[in-house]
Amino acid sequence: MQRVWATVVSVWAVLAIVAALAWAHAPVAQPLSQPAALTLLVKGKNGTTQRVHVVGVAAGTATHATTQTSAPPVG
Amino acid sequence: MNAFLAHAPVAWYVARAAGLVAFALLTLSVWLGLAMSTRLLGPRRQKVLFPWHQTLAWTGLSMVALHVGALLLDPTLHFGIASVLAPFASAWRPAAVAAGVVAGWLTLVLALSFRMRKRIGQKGWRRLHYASFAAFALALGHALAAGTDLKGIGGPLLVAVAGGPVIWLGLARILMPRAVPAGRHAIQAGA
Repeated sequence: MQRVWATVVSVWAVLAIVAALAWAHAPVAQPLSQPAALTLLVKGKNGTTQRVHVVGVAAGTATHATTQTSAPPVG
Repeated sequence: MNAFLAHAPVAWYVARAAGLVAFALLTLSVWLGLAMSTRLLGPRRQKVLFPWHQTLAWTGLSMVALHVGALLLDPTLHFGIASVLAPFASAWRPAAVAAGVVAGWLTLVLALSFRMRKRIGQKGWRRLHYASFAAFALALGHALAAGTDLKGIGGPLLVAVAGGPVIWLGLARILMPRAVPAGRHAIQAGA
């Protein structure tokens, strides 16, 4: 009877440690990057500086704003 | 989760778990053996605990077998049969693995000695049992040097928890008079 108890407890201990190791090394899901607000400083043609607040842009992941060049200043 | 389980190093986890459980069982067996050899436990308790001492040694050995088997099945480590059975045959940390191999063989000899006690005699059996100190020290060294789960605070904690009682009981065994078997009390009293 002692052998049965010792074997059962040992096997359970091995299984518990294996489960703990597997759980500890399980891959953690990467949290999605939160869209962050971005503040841009835009210089106007009169020399004035305007602050533009852009909401819904993921910081560091935003692609370039535009592929088109700005129109040349008039006058 | 299923993809993780499919790629999880199960053999590696089993090897680590079986190694830890084997060490725990063999440490318990050493504690019991030392406690029985002193006068700390009465003769009645000795009678009850001796089969447990034997059972723990054999169960520990079966966990050592599981540890070795899982290491052989692990696809990353590439352990061969020779490297798990012969000392210094492993290319990976040869001294640390050799300590485990020698500890395993010593434990097997000690476990077999329970069955050969009548043949080798009580004195021979007792002398052979001194090898259990070497087996314990080698197993502890193997766990500390080759084990991946005992880095940082885990190593010193294991030494204190497992080795502390062994040192304490060993000192008690040396300093206190040896336990006299129950049958000899009458002889001594009559003399």
